[in-house]
Amino acid sequence: MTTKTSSARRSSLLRRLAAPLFGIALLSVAWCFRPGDAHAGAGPTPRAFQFFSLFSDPSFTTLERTSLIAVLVIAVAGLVYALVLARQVVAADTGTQRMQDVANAVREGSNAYLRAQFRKLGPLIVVITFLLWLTYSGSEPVFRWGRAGAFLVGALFSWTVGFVGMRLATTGNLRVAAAATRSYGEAMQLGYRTGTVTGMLTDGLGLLGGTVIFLMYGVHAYEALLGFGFGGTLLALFMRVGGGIYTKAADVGADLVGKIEKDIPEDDPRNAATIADNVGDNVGDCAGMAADIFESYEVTIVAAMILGMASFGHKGVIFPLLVRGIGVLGSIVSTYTVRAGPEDSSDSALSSVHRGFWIGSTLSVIGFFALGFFYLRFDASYLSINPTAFAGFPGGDPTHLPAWASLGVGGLDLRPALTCLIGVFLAVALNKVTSYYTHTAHAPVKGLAKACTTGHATNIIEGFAIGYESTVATIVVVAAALGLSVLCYAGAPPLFVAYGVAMTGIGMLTLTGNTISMDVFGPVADNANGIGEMGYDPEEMERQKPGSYKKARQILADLDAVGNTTKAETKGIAIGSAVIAAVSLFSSFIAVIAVGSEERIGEMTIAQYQAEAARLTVATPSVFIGLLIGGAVPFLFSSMLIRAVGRAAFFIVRECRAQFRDLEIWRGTKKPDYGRVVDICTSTAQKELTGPALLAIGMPLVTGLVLGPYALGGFLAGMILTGQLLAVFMSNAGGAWDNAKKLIEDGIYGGKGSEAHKAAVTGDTVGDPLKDTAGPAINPLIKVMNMVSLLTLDLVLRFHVGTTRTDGLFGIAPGILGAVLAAVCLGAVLWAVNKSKQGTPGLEDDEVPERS
Amino acid sequence: MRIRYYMMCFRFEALVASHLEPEEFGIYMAVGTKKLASGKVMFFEVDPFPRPGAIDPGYFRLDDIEARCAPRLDGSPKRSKYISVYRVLEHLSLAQFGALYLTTSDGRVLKLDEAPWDGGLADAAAPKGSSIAPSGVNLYQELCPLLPMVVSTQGPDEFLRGMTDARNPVSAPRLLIADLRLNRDVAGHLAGDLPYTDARHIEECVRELEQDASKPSKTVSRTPRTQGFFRVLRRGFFLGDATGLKFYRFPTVDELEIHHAGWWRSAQMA
Repeated sequence: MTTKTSSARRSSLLRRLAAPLFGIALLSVAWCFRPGDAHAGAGPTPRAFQFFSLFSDPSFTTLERTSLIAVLVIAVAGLVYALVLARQVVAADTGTQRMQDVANAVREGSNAYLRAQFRKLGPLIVVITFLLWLTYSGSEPVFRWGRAGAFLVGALFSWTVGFVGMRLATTGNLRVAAAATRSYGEAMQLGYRTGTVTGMLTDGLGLLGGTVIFLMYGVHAYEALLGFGFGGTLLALFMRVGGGIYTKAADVGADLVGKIEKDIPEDDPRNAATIADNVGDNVGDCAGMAADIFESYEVTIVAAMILGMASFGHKGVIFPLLVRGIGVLGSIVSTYTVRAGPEDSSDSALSSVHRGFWIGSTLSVIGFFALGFFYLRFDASYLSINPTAFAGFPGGDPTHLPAWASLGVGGLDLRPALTCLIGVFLAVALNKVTSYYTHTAHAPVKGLAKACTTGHATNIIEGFAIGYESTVATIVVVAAALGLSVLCYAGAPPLFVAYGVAMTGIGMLTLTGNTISMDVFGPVADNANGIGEMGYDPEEMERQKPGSYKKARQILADLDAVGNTTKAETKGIAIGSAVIAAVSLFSSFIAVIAVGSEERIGEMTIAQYQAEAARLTVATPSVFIGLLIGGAVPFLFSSMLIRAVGRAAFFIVRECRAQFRDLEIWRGTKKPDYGRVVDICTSTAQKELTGPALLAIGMPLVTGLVLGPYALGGFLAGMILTGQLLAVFMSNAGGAWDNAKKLIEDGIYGGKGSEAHKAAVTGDTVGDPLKDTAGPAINPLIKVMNMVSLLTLDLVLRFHVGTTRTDGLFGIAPGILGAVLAAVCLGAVLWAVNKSKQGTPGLEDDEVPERS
Repeated sequence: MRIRYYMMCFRFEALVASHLEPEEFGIYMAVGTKKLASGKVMFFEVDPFPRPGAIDPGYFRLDDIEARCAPRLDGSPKRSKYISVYRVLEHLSLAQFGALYLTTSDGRVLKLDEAPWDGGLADAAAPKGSSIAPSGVNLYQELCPLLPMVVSTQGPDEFLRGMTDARNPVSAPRLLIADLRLNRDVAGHLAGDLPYTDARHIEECVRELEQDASKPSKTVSRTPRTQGFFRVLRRGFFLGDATGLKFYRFPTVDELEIHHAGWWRSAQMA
C-alpha cells in the first residue's frame, strides 16, 4: 500500500513537473542557439531596415499607401460596427429574475472557464514569446522583436475573439429568450447580431493585425507575419481542444446521468451538469470556433502575403489585404440586412441568413474584381522593381496573358481575383456538401434514421458509411477548387501556383463575418432555448397573455433549429480553410528550404524553388517515412482527445450521481451545486490541454531533426491529407448521427422512447466527441504543425541528425545537438501519449449506482 | 399524522397506507429514498373503509392500521405500509376511488380527477401540426389487473362492460384501461411518432377488425412494453365494470405544456 502510494506520488510529481521540465529543456536549447552563435558568417548582410519604410519607399505608389490606410480604416470600422452591435445587444430587455438567474449561472461558468484557461495559457504564451525572441537566428534585431511581439499580439487577438465572443454570447442568450416573448423577428435579429459581433471582431482584428504588420515591416514582414499567424493558431488549438473537451465532457456527462440513467429531459434543472452543458455550448461552439476561424483568417492572409511577396512583389501582398477589406465591408452591409418579421418561421429566418451571405458574396466579388481591374496592372516600371514577377507571366510578358485573365487589357492580370472567386464558390460548395450529408432534409440522414430501426449496430455502420462518403465528396470539392486555381496559373512556376491557392483561401474566408455570425448564432439560440426551458414561468406568462408561453417556446425552438443548421454549415468552411491554408504554407516551407533561411526568402529564384520541390518525393525513403508518421499523427491526436473527453465525463458522471443521491435535489426542492460540475469541467479540460499541445509542437521537431527537412515536408503532406480526411469524416458522421436522432425525435420510426430512438441516441453519443472535439481540433492542429515546421525550419536545416555542417556549439557537432533536442521532444511526446492512456484516477473507488 | 390510502395500479397491484401526500408518495414509489430507483407508476387515492354499497368490505385488514402505520421513532412519516398485494382492484367499490396519479420514471406527478364521460371526446394528445387522421378502431392498454394490449371497435364503456361481464367466458371483475393513440397516416400505416415496438402487428390487427365486423376486439399483445406510454395517451383512463364507469380525462397537449410543463417534458422521456 505504502509502495503504491509513494509510487503514485512520484508519478503525480512527475506529471506536474513534466511540462515545466520540457519548457526548461527547450529554453536551454534555445539559449544554446541564441543569436551570435547561429549562422555565423552565413549569407549576405541584410539590407538596413526601417519601420514604416513603405511610406518613403518609391516602389510603393501613393494610391497603394492610401489603399493600405483605407484597409486599416475598414478594419477599425469593422470593430466599431461590432461595438455598436454589442451595445444594441447589451441594451436589450433582460427578462424576468428567474431567467436572469439561469443566464447568470451560464455566464459565470463561461467566465470561470476562460479565466482558468488564461491562467494556464498566460505563462505558456509568455514562455513561447520569449523562446521565439531567443531563437531568432537572423541578423536584424527588430525582426526578433517583430516575430515575438507579433506572436504575442496574434495570441492575444485570438483569445480576445474567443473571450469577447463568448462573453457576448452569454449576454445575448438571455436577451434572445426575453425577446422571444414578444416577437420572432426581434429574437432572431438579436441572436444573429450577437454572433455578428464575434464575426466582425474576427474580421477587424485579423485585418488590423496583418495590415499593421505590413505597414510596419513592409517587404520584410515575413517573420512578424509568421509570428502573428503562429500566435493565433496556437491559441486556437488550445481553445479548440479545451473547448471541445469541455463541451463534450459536460454534454456526455449530463446525458449519461440525466437521460440514460434517470430518464430526465435535457436542461432539467435537477441535473447538476445542466449549466455546465450550456457553458460547454459557448466554450466549444462559440469561443473555440471563433478562435479557429480567426486563425484560419490570419493564416490565409499570412500565407498569401508571404507568397505574394515572393512571387508578384508588393502588389501580391497588398491585393489580399484589399480583398479582405472589401470582405469586411461586404460583411458589414450583408449582416445588417439579416432580419426577420414578427411572425416569421424558421424557414424564412434561414432564408434571410442565406440571403445575407449571398448579398455579402455578391458585393465582395464585384468589389474585388473592380479592385483587381484597376490595381492588378503590371507595367514595365513595376516589373523592373519587382523582377520576380516576370516568371509569373507567359514568356515573362504580362501582355501575353490570355483574354480570360486580362480581358484583353495589356498588363492587366485578373488571376488573383479569379482565384478569390474560386474561393467564394468553394465556401458555398463546402456548405452544400456538409448540408447534404448532415441535414435532415436529405437522403443520407433520412437513411441513417431508417437504419436505426434495425438496431444500434446498423446505425453505427451506416453512419460510418455516410462519414466516409462525405469525406470523398469534400475532397473532390477541395481538389476541384485547387485544380481550378492551379489552372489559372497553368504554365507558371509553382510559387505562383501556390499564390493562387493562397488567394483561394482569401476568397473562401472573405465573408468571415457572416460565417462566424452563422456559427455563433447556434449556441446563442441553443442557450436561449435552455433559458426558456428553465427560466420561463408558463402559468404566469399565460395569465398575462394567453398563448404567449407556447408562442415564445415555439419561437425559441425554431431559432434553435435555424442555429443548428447554420452552425453545421460553417463547419465545412472551417475544415476546408485549414487545408487551403496548409497547402499555401507548405509552399512557404519549400521556399525556405530552397534559400536556407526565412530571412532570405525574397532572394529565392524560381529555379531554386523548383529544384527543392522536386526533391520532396516519396521515392526518397526518409520523405516516405515522414509521410507515414505525419499521416498517423491526426489519429494519435484524435485518440488523445477522445480519451480526454471520456476521462473528464467520468468525473462529471460521478459528481452528478452523488448529487442525485440527495433526495431534495431529486425532488426539485433544492438547487444542485452547478458550480461543482462547472469547476470539474474547467479543471479537467485545462489539464488535458498539455498532451495534445506537446504532440502538435513536438512531432514536427522530432521528425525534422531526426529525418531531415525533406522528411519534415513529407510529414506535413501526410498530416494535411489524413488530417483533412479524418476531420471531415468525424464532423460529418457525428453531424449525421446527431440529426438522425433529431429526425426520429420529430416523430418518425416511433419518435422518442422507441427502439429506433435508443439506437439513434447511441449513434449520437458515439458521434459527439468526434464532431465536437476531435474533428474540429484537427483544423488548428494542421496549421500549428505547419507553423511550427516553418518557424523551426532554420533549426532543422542546421541541426538535423544527417547534416553535413560542422558549425556546432561548444565543440559539439550540430547533428549531436539535434539528436539531443529530438530526444527531448520525443520524450515529451511519449509522456503525453502515456498520460493520455492512463486510467481515470479514482475509477476503482466508484460505486455502481444502486437501485431499489 | 393523517393516514392516506393508495391503490397502486401500475406497475403492480397493491393497497398501501402512507403518511405521505400523493405527490410525495408518487416520488417515493418512483425513485425510492436513497436508493434511487427509476420507473413510472400509477396509483389512485382511495378510501378503503367499507361503506354502504361497497363490495366485500371485510377483505382488507384495517382494524390495526393505526398501529401498523405509526410514524417512525424519529417522528418522520411512514412512507408505505402494504395492506394487500393481491386482487385489490376488485375488492374496492367504484365509489371508493379518488383521483388518479400518474408518476413519471423520475418522479414527476400529475393528478387526474374524475371527469364526466360523454362517450366521444376528441383526442387529447394529437400530434402537433400533423395531418394524421385518427383511426376508427380503438387501442386499449389494460393496466390492472392484467396487462394485454387490445384493439377494439367498441367504445371504452362498451368494451369494459363486455370484459367485466361474468357471463362472458373470459372476464375480470373490474378493469382499468388506458385509451391509446392509434393514428394512421394517409397510407394507412401507424403514425411515425408512435413508439409501439410491434407497429406492423397492430396494423394487421386493426385491418382484421375492419374487415370482420363480427369481431369486436382482438388482443395485440399479452406482454406489451410501455415505452413512451404517457406520450401516446389519447382520451384518458377508464375504470369500470358491469355496474359503472369512471373516466379520468388526460389533459390536452396545450394544457400539458402550459400547466404541467415539468411533468409533460419528463413524461415524454420514456
